[in-house]
Amino acid sequence: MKIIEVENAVKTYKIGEIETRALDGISLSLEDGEFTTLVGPSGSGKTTLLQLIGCLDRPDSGSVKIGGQDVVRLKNGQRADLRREKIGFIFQFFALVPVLSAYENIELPLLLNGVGPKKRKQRALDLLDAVGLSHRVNHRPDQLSGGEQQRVAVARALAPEPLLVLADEPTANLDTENGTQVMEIMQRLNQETGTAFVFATHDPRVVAYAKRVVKLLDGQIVDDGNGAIL
Amino acid sequence: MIEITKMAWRNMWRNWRRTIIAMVAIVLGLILLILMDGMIKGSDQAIYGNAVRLYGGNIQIHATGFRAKASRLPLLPVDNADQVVEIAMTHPEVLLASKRINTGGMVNERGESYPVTITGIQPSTEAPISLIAENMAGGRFLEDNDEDMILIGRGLSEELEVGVGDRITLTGKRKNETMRQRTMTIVGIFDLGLREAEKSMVFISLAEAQSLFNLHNQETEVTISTNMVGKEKQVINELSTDLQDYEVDSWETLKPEIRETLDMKSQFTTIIGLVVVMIACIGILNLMMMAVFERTREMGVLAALGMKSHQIMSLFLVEGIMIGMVGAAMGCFLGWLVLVAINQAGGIRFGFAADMGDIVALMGDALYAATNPLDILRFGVIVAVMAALASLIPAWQASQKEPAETLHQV
Repeated sequence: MKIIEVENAVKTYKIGEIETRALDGISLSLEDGEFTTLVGPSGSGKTTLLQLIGCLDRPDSGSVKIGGQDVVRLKNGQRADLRREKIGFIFQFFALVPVLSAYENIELPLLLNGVGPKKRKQRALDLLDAVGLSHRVNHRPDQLSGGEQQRVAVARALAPEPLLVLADEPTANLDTENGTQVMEIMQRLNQETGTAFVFATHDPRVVAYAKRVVKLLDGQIVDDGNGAIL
Repeated sequence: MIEITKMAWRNMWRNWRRTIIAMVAIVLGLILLILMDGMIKGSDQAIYGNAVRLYGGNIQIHATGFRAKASRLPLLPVDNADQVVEIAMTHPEVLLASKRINTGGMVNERGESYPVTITGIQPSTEAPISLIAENMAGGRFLEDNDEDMILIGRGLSEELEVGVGDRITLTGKRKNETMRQRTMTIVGIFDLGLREAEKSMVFISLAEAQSLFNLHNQETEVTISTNMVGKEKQVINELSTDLQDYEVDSWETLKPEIRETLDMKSQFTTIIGLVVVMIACIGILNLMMMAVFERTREMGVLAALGMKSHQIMSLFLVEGIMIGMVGAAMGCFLGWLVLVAINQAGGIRFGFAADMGDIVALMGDALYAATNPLDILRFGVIVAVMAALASLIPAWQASQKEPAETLHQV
């Protein structure tokens, strides 16, 4: 089942007087349960495409559908609801809330979704266990290593049982060992939960784990990973 | 909301130095505000309370036409003064109603003349609650049948270099404008701690005044003391209804310069108060704008997690409110402590200002602070509310940014 459909998406950024076309009429579809990477040099449009899929930004033209729903025309509040319920995010800089513990960071999206306290607690503890951090429940981000923080971020992304998880350079700030550990966890969780994962990355370690590799160059898809060269 | 409050509280202490600095600004501002208001209200109470003590009674009843010439203390007899006293005493708030003659004159001694207010009183009626009777520094208080006897203040006795038993000459103007002089023996000296005011007041018996000013069986005012200073309006309204052919006034109308001084001070307090509150708010505004700027990427993450704009706005708004509330609570407590400490230490010495004029002289030798908890609380609430408003703009700005835009801000 197609969970993501992007059609002819164009996105231009203006910084001062300079206009940059980040995406130049991209079309891409993603299936349920995929483990896909977007690769390409800096400026190829990977992060921009991820942001459009994640409803963090809107294309100047074209469409983006999630679960069959056109998300471009939704209001900001509706897009926030969609992100909260259906999309998980993992960032290069870990992006944990500094004043919340590991447990509380994972619990946050569940709280926002109105999940009851018992179910919240169980889910958060299960996820902490799944990423091997049951012993770090009450530690705050400044008390965790980079690898541990990214694992908490993975757990947080999966907390609301989303349709897909979007990860922007998830291993960029991790050493080899931690990077590998995080990728193995995500691969295992992809297989166990059926949640689709989409990564934007330069990192060959990440590419090595991918079932599908989509290549971007200058805002266009040059290889969609399904055998089509565009 | 609980989660937002928890996060806001923890965020407050993330950069604890900056939070402390903002709070110090609030605390110091509040202490200044409370101190200034306490001292000004204390001086108001002193001026008003001492005016009542010194000039006799909270309320005075005069004949029609007195008010227009009040500053000249005209000899306008009050019709049926006994009846007026009777009617006044029927009111439960009235402690005492006493007949008087009150007019201007001169004290002459060794070729020098000093303008004074000459008050003829009923000593037996007024003595039980008279603060002058309570504060005799020498000799005795007047008695009803005293003839050629005079009571003067410590300030005047020092000026004239006279004491109990000495004789001074009193000059007054009769109703028919002729001048009368009488030499009197100082029977007592009172000391209220108001040197300037004491220099300008002398007391004689009512009978003596009636003789001196040719007002046989007549009086020019009925003076009333009530059981509460500062609540005269209600009593005046009731008495005015009962005594429609008379003029019923408190010192607010008879001494408008006192009221004007109190009003001017009140305006001054308001202006300074506004400035202090604005300074505190600018501190909070600056702090919250810095916080929004520093946490821009974090806001993007929260938006990515699905937090809505109003929830992100609430996060910063609650943080600003908390800073305001904690600062206000500390400021109110410390401000109150400062006022208590000043009063415990015997007030602020103000005797040096006695020569600055009658109204300033009414403040007395020591200035005490008024410590009304409701006033202190009011300032705290105002500051907390202003802190919340100061947080509103940066909080709103925070909520309006697009997630993609904020995520890539370092």
